This record gives sequence, structure tokens and C-alpha cells, in this order.
Amino acid sequence: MAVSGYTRRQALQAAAGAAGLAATGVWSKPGLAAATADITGKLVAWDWSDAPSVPGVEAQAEFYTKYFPGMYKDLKFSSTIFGYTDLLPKLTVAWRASNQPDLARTAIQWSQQFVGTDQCATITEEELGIPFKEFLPGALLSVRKNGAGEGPLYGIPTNNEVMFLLYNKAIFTKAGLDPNKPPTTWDELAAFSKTIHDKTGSYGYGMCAQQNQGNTPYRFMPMAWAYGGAIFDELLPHPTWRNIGIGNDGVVAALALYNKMFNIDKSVQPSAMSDNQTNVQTLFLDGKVAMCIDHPSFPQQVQQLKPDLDMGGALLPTGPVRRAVVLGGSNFHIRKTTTNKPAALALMKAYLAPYWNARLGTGAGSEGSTEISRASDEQKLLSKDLPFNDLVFDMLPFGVNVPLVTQGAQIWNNTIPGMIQQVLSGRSTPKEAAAAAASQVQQMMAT
Amino acid sequence: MTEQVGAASARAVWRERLAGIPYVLPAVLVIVAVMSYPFAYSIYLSFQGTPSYTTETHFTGLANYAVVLHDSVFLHSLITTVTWTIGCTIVDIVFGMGAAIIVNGLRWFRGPIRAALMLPYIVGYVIASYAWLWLYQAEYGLLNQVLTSWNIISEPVSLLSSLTWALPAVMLVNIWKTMPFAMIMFLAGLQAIPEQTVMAAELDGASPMRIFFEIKLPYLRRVLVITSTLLTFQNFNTFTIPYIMTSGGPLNETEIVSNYIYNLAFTNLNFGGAAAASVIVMIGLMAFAVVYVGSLSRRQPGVV
Amino acid sequence: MVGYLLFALVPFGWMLTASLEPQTSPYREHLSYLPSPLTFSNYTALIRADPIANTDFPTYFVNSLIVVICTVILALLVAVPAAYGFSRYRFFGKDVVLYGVMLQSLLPLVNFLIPLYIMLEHFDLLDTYAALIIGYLTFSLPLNIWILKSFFDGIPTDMEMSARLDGASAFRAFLEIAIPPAVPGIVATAIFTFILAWDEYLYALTMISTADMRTLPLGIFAYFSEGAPNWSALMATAIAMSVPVVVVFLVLQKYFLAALTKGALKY
Repeated sequence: MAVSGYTRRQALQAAAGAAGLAATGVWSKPGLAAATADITGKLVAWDWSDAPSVPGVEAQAEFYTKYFPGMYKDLKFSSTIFGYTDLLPKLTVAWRASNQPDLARTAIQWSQQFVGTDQCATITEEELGIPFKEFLPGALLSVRKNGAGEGPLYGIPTNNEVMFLLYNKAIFTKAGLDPNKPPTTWDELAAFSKTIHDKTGSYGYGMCAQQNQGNTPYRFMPMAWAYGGAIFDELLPHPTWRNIGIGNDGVVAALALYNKMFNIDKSVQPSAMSDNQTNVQTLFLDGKVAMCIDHPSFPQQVQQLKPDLDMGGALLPTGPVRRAVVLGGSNFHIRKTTTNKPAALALMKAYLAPYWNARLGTGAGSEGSTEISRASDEQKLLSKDLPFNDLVFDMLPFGVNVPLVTQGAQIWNNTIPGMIQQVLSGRSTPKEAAAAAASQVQQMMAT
Repeated sequence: MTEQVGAASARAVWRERLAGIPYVLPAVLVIVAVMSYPFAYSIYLSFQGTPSYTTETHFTGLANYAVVLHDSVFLHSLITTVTWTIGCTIVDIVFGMGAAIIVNGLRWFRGPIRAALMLPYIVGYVIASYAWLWLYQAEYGLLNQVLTSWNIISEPVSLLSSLTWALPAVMLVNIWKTMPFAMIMFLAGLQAIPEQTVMAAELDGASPMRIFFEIKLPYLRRVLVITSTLLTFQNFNTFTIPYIMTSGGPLNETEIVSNYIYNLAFTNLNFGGAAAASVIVMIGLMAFAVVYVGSLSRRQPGVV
Repeated sequence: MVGYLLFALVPFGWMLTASLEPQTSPYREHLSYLPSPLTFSNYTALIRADPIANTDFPTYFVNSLIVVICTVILALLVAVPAAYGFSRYRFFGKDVVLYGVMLQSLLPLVNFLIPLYIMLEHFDLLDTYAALIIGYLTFSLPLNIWILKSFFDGIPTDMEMSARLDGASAFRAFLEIAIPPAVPGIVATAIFTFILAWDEYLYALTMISTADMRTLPLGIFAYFSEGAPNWSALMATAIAMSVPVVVVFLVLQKYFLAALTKGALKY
């Protein structure tokens, strides 16, 4: 289980230094938060982590087991790190029973489930000690009730990321394509995919189309948005989450392109309908698939597991209307009925200080959530070791929100993959599938 | 005299009637203590509306039931579940019986072979799911590697993506896991058949098939009833296999009722609907149990 | 027979092969039944806790063991008398109670997660062995009572009757006359309960939130997060997780079979 050299060596150094400084409570070392002396009581925090081979998971373990407890010796602190799929059902049950944890980090597409149902405490700028303008506007939308443009915040973004296009240069060369010229539009991507499949034995594009799976729309929606489609009005600067756009032409066009790649060109792996992102990653690692869209953390894994795979990265392709990508990331939420809000805030402050925000953000394969952390020296240092980090920064402005309503999970995990599968399996035409999805969403929003 | 005896025996009967209670009490207490609140809560919740935008509930009467019964996904999952249950149970019984007969007839290595055949049941659902997931894997799984290297198919096939093959594929995993249970029950049944009867028939010159169907099978009736009932209920309520292997896809083809209820509760946040669906399932199973077990025990008294 | 054996064992063979290889080997072009290159590192990794990977096989193993052994013991203590009671005695509402007990096994567990959670939380039992033991005990009772009752039904009552006539109390008759022939049946129920509790995932997931109280099924799920899963390590853990159950079964299988044979199915 090799971990990149930087993380281990420098992490240990930093931890030693940080713990010492934290104890003195001095802000002198740039990037660390000052310890508030009077934090006592009990605090339970839940977090989630990526699969073990992602470097920087060490940073997380270190933060929760050494650094933060070291900062506040009088605090009875306990934290649990879950797998990504375990955390959501557990948190749902726990908070509906008004039980711990006091503080939880959730993926951005889960936030509205808790924010919209009034289970989170509000957080003000004074309490947090960090000006809200530091955060991305899209990220802030995700922690306001029902994705409103203004109003109190019910959570704080911890890190943000976007996906980008990853491709295998060797396969490109084998197929006669220029390895330094990745596809720039979605149509080009489909064409390249066909060429690759025809000329080599590999599949061109690795598609995720599994049902009941959040990965699937993460790859589909950028295409839909690029063609001018939308779920609601999330592309507007002030989305209302009322106008349903899912039946429109952009979505239909995207579905048609998916259909072309999967059914007509057959340039996509045949198991797409039961593949989620981990399956596609496996295929990419073994050179069976030439292109895939994935999180920034994946290239780090590739480097570890298959160092001789020559990777190329590119911004997500554009469409006729725009270039877009899902704004991903995570948010911290404090339980509304918590008894130790000061401690929870202290944890957030420590987590969000530029030094840790950069390390933990990049460690999770994304970026820190604050402008300060993204501009910090720490970030610059980390970025040097991380493949394609600059691409992520470049893609951030194109981020578009997931549906920020409480029915969001159902729409994201159920409706959209269902729509895609209807088309891929040949049961419906793109137009029919999109119309069916639109009426489903309408029904959902009516309750 | 008779009155005294009458009174004494009446008291004796009364005491007899009460005597059984302490034996049964711990079990009943445990179940009542643990399950009565959840049970009551579920029934209560099934009559409550649980909109996704709040944690409060309000009384909506039978609305949840109506919504669930009109949901094509629910109905589809019911059909899938019934197919799953009947298919798996029948195959379990048939092949379990076959295995039992063969094992019963073995002279050597009976112990180890029996143990080996029991392995799938012993290791549990979680491991079964992952083992077969790995096996069915489109590009690296054993199935595809064998099929392509023997040139049966030219390109790897992904069973779990196919609308027609996903359900049978997942059912196969369940069968793999539960068949040993049937086997072991039948094996025990076979070994309990009195030797003399069988030997007498053999001496009379009856063929093995006739011996099986006319001599052995009637003895096995009781085991058949018990096993098939247990298997039916266990198969109906499976959750883990589709959850881990396909998440219910593709296009709900492998979504059985327990997955549907889980999604309804945790993705759609419709806890009231999930409760209603559970109650519907429970009523259905109860009806089935009463009819099925009742009819069978009528034919042979004392079975249950 | 060969067909049966192949069907049963091939998946295990495949798992074993994957578990004996390093992480990237399973992604292979060609068919190969034997591990290449052979490595035991997946197994040796299990012996130590790995805070980075968030896995801790020894702890999970011990937790599972404690929970399951307690569950089995309690289940037997409760189910055996209950089955005997249902088999031998008639009392008010017996059928109702019997079916009520069975009813509980008809319902999907998913529905009860939240109320059970609330109950356990109220008594401060979350994240404890007790929570799991209570749950598994309750879930296993219907099956256990059903099987044991069939056993007792198949054991003739003459011996107990004569003991009673000789002056023994009903309870002594139960203990010393009825139980011994039923021992194999008791063993069978113990095995079924062991298997049920060892493998249970959903309930444990809901009630256990701290890493060091996790049981084995929860530990396996930790391998599936956002990144490419480590199939080799997963298979190694799965195999290691199966070992105790298989051992228990092998040791007890004589009793198990004898039980079923001589017990309820006696004609």
C-alpha cells in the first residue's frame, strides 16, 4: 500500500510542528487556526473517506486522531470515518432519531436532505470566523435551504471539486489519434470513441450507467448541460428550483448521443448499464477503456497502481451551448439539536484553516473550499505532486449545482439513471424517456 | 367421589394448561419487548404522510397504501420477487433433493463432500454476493474468461447489465447459497427412512425410480413441507444479494421488494410509503402462510 | 456429483486465486486459474490494524466472535424451552402466540431500522455488543423455535410420561429426558444461528457507529468506497471471514446430521 512520498514524510513533519503550535494557540504559522482555550464537553464527528489507496487519506486520519484532539485536551472527542456508501443511510437514521453525531461531513448532493428538512443548525460568519465570500457561490447555494440564493447557511463547504476527462495516451496513439489532442467537444468524444474501438481492441469511452447510483448523472449531466439541457433552472445565476427543464431538447440530444455511442457505434463497454465508477476505473487501469470522466483523486490512484500508464487529461468537452461540469465537494453540517455547538465550530475552524483545508481537500482529491486555501503556499506545494491539478482549477468556474431540493437524491440517483437506461436498453426513444422523466419529476415536486 | 375426581382432574387440567407458560415465556417476552414498538411504529407510520422536506409527519389515512399500490415499480418488484421466490425455491428443492440422494448413496468421502457442498450456505450472503460479483465481472470474471477462451462467445458479455439475464444471474447466486440448506434437510430425511421398507421393495424387484417416488417420497413429505416453507420465506425476504450486486438494476429488473422498500425509505425519504409497502408485504405473506401451510397440514395431520 | 461439486466450489477457487495475488494482478488479459504472482501479503495485512485503510480485521473478528457466541448461547437458552413448551403443552392462545412468533420473521428488516435505533438509543445501547446480541437473538427466534419444535414433536413422550409417573417434576423430565435426544437438533439450531449472526450486515450497519465496535460484514464493506476497489484484499478478507464458520460446521456436522436424522424426522 504505497503512499506518495510527500504525504508521508512531510505530513509527519507538519503534524509534529502543527501539534506544537496548536498547543500554544498562535496564528503565527500561516495556515493554522488558533485554539480556543475553553472548549470542553463531548463531541462526536462523522466523516467519510475514499478507498485506501488514495493518498491523503493519511491526512484525514492524522487530523482526526492527532491534530484536533491535541488542540483541545479537555474535549472528549470521538470520530468515525465511514465508507462513502455507509455514511448516508447511517446519518439519515441517526439524525432522525436526533442522535449523534454532532457534526458530519456529507457529500454535496446529500446536503439538501438534511438542510431542507430542518435538521441542521445555522452558522453565521461571526461564529465561523471566516468570511463567507471565501467560498464558491455554487457551494454556498448547496447549504442554504432549498438552494436559495440568499439566507442563512446551514452548513459550510469543506472542499470542492469537479471532474475532468482522463485518457490513455498509448491507446490514442495506437488508434492513430494524436495523443496530445484530446476531444474538445462531446461529438468529437463520440467520434474518437468510435475510432478507438474500430482500430484497437479497446473501448473508447467508459460509461457509467448503473441504476440507483450517483456516479451516473455526474457524467451525464455535463453533457446534457452542454447541449442546453437542464433538470431545473440550475444554469441560471439565481435558480429557483421550480421550473422543470428535464424534458427539453438539450437532454434529448444528450440521450441521443449516449444511444449512438452505446447502441449504434458500440464503442462503449457493454457492461455500462451495470457499471458504476469503480468498474470503469478498473477497466481504465487495465487499458480496456481509453477515456473516462472521473474525480481528481483517480489519477493519483492510477499513478500508484499503474505507474506506466501514460495518462492525458483535458477539460470536459464543450457542447453547442456551453461547457459544464457538476460542482462536487462536501459540506460540514452541525446537528440542530447538538449540545456542543462551540466544539463543533472549533472543529470546523481547524479543518477550514488554509493549511488543513488544502491538505484535506487535495487529499480527498479535490480542492479546499476557501479562496485562501486554494491560493496558499500549502496548496501550491501539494499541487506540484498531483497530476492534472491545474485542470481541476480551470474547470471549477464551469461548475453547476446538483438539484438542491430534498427530492434531489431521488431525482439524481433514480430518475436520471432510469431515463438513461430506458434509452440504452432500447425501451424508449430519447424523447420519450426525457418526457417520462419530466413527468416523474413534476409528480415528485408536487408533493 | 366422582365430583372430587372431577374437581381434581379439572384442576389438573388447569395446572397443565398453565404449566407450559413458563417455558414459552422468555421467548415471548423477548419478542414482545424488542419488536412491539417497531411493529406498532411501522403500522402507525404507514398511515402518516412523510414528505421529504420535513421530518414531521401528518395523518394521511390510506394515502400511502394507494400510492404504493399504484406504483408500477412496486408492482414490478412484487412480480420480480414472486418469480425469484418460486424459481429459487423450486430449483433449491429439486437440486437439493438430487444432491441429497447422491450424497446418501456415497460410500467414500461422504463427510468431506457433504462439507464442501455446504460451504456456500455457511459463508453467508455478503461473501456470496462479492464472490459472484467478481465471477460475473465482464472483463475479468471467470465466466467470461471461460466463455471467450472456449470460443462460445466472441465478446465478453455482462450478464448483470442485460435486461433478460440479470435476474436469472442473480437468482443463480441465491440458489447457490440456499440449495445446501435444502440438501441437508433432505439428506437427513432420507437417512431417517427405515431401511427395512426400502430393502423389501428392492428385493421385490422395484426399480430405483419407483422406489423413490412411491416409497421414499411419502416419508419425505414432512421435510418437504418444512423446508419449502422455510425456504419460501427466507427467499422472499432476501435483501443483500441484489443490493450488493446490482442495486436493483438494470431498469429495476433485479429489484425485489426488500430493495424497493429500502430505496423508498432511504433515497426517496418516504418512510411512510416504505412502512405501507411493508405492511402490504406482510399481509400477503401471512395470507400465503395460512393458505399454504393450512392446506398441507390438512392432508397430513401433525405436520406443523 | 462432479457437477454439484464444481458448482459449489468454483467460486471459492476463484476467490482464493484473487486473494493470493497483489492488487493489480486480477486485472488480467488471459485466463489463469493459478495465482500469479503468488503472494500472501493480503493475508498478512489482515493481521494488523490499518488506520489509514480504515480496516482492522483482528478487532472486527473479535467483535463478531463475541456477539455471535453470546447470541447463540442466549438463543438456545430461550428457544429450547419455548419449543418444548409449544410442543408439549396446550395453553390459552397457544396457536396465536405461535403464529405471532413466526409472524415476526415475515417482515423485512428495513422497516424496523429506525424504531429499533430509537429504542436502543433510548436505553443507551447503541454501539454496544448488547444491541447486536438482542437484535440477532430476536431475529433468530422464529427459525429456531420452528425447527426445535419439529424436533420435539418427533420425540415420543413415553419416556417423559414414565418419568413423571415415577415422581419427577415436569421440569426435570424436560431437562433429563427430553433434551438428550434433542441435542443434535439443538446443535443444528446453534449452527443456523451462528451463520445468521455472523453474516448480518444491515442491522449492524445501523446500530454500530464507531470503528472499533464493527463486526466483520461491516469491515468488508469498507473496501467499497469511491475509488477502484482492492479485489484481492477484499477476497482475502472474505475468505478469512469464512474460516471460523466453516470450522464450527466441520466440527459439529456429525451432530448436525445425526440430529436431523434421529430427531424430528423420525418416522
